[in-house]
Amino acid sequence: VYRLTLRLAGNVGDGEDILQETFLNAFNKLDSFRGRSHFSTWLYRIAINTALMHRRSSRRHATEPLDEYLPQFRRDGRHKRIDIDYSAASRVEAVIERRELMRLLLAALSRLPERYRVAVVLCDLEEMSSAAASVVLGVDAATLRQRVHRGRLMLRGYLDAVARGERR
Amino acid sequence: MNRPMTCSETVRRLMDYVDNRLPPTERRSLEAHLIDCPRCVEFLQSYRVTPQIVRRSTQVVLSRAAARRLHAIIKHVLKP
Repeated sequence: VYRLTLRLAGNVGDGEDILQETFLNAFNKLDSFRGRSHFSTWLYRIAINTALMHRRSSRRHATEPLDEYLPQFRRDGRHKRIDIDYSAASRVEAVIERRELMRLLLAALSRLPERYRVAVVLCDLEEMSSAAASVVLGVDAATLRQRVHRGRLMLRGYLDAVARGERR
Repeated sequence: MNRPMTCSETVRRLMDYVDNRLPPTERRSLEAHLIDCPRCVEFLQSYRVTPQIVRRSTQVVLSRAAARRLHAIIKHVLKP
């Protein structure tokens, strides 16, 4: 649960606060758990809602979105930029120190639009199945996959820029 | 789709491609494009490893101090 709250929060302090709030909320709502879903699904949903509420009420959140890292194309459908190395992202761990990369990526996750962030965290990072994540988020599988794809594209572009030293 | 895809068509379908969910004709068109487009091959490779890199890099455990605080809260809440 901590890993989930940290990834949704974007920094250690908020991740720990949200973890505590999640458990308090879960205790308060324990009577509402009817056993219709797995307990873990129910707890994840509480953690996500707590994280989203926390973020909305917090003044400290990144405002600069990651849209600029989406791939861009010419009118004929080809990549707009042919002067850059699109494989740089694959090598980012060799270029950036581990702690620094963690800080950058947590911050980058928090810059993803909310619907993409939650989808990426559940499916790509927590490795939840699409079916389970769809239930937790209350969206159909196609919508969920679209959100994961878009979030992944933004993160890929961000990693590219970090590896090339264009963004820290 | 019988013709090779463009880069934007390829990128739009990458998730379905890596998850092996593309219909055979679209898969052939996408792969025909990859043969001629080193940019999209690079893009595909990095797209594929992005979740793994982000997952590995944000793998953390709760600090002892935070675990103690959480434990104290749980104990307090459970107190009869």
